[in-house]
Amino acid sequence: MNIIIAAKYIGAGIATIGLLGSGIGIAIVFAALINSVSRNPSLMKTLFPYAILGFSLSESTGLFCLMISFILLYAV
Amino acid sequence: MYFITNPLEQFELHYLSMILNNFNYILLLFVVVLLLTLNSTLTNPNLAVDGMNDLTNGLIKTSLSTKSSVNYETFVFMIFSLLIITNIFGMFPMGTAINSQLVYTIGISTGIIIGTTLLGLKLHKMNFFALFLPNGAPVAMLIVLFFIELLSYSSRAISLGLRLGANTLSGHLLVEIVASLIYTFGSLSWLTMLLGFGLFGLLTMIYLLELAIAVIQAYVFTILTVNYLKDVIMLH
Repeated sequence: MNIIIAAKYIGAGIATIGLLGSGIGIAIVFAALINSVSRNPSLMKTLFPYAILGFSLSESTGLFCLMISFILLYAV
Repeated sequence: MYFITNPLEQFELHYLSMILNNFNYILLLFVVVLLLTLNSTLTNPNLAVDGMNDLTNGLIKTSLSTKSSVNYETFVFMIFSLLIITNIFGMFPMGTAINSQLVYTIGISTGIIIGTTLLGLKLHKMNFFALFLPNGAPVAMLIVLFFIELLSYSSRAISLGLRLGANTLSGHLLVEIVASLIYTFGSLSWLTMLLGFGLFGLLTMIYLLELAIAVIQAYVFTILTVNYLKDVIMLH
């Protein structure tokens, strides 16, 4: 029984590795926003909704991993 | 005293009577709030409702630039107002976050995808299936690409609702876990209680982030719904 609990915690820890990808994705989105706005500051109003959309799309993939690890910790 | 043994307890349903639980109570509250605000806009303009209406109409106008785009304004406004009002209800202390129930959110998104597919079939008849054939692909590849595109089209039904549900679920779990950590620190000793006071700053930041995500997720769900509508109406 103890080994199952240990495997649960190990699995929950491994599941958080996926947050790496979402971190890189969010960084790419905002780096591209800063890059383009510094080239043409008048585009800020047009680009910001796209940046928010890209941020939340890539953030949600990280949250899937976080949800898996929470479910492993508390629901399984 | 109210003790938290498991952070998932906040998503349980409590029945007030045979049919009324905290889930459909929130939905009922949403209908009441929406009817009251919409009724008051007939006599004097309401800033919140006008803002939501302008936002959704602007979204439709920029992506669906046809004459028929007026037909979908009410649908998109209802999706946006449902999600944003229930998300904000969920952010109240001791409130119920009904968008964390994956059955409910995936049900909504599956309904949206079935509805848009039927709309596309009605508008374009058999030409609708051109949506699954990418432009400029070699003929030998078409039969494989058709099934890949069909898979990616039908997986939208799951991913749209799962995105909203997972965001709400993990956000509320994070707030609950940090809050129970502060409670445990406070009950241990004087030294850890001071550390717990410092953690209130972290809790406030996470809570503000969740408030922002509650609005952003409603916005993203609406944008993606409009995009899926655009796909079936315009076919590429």
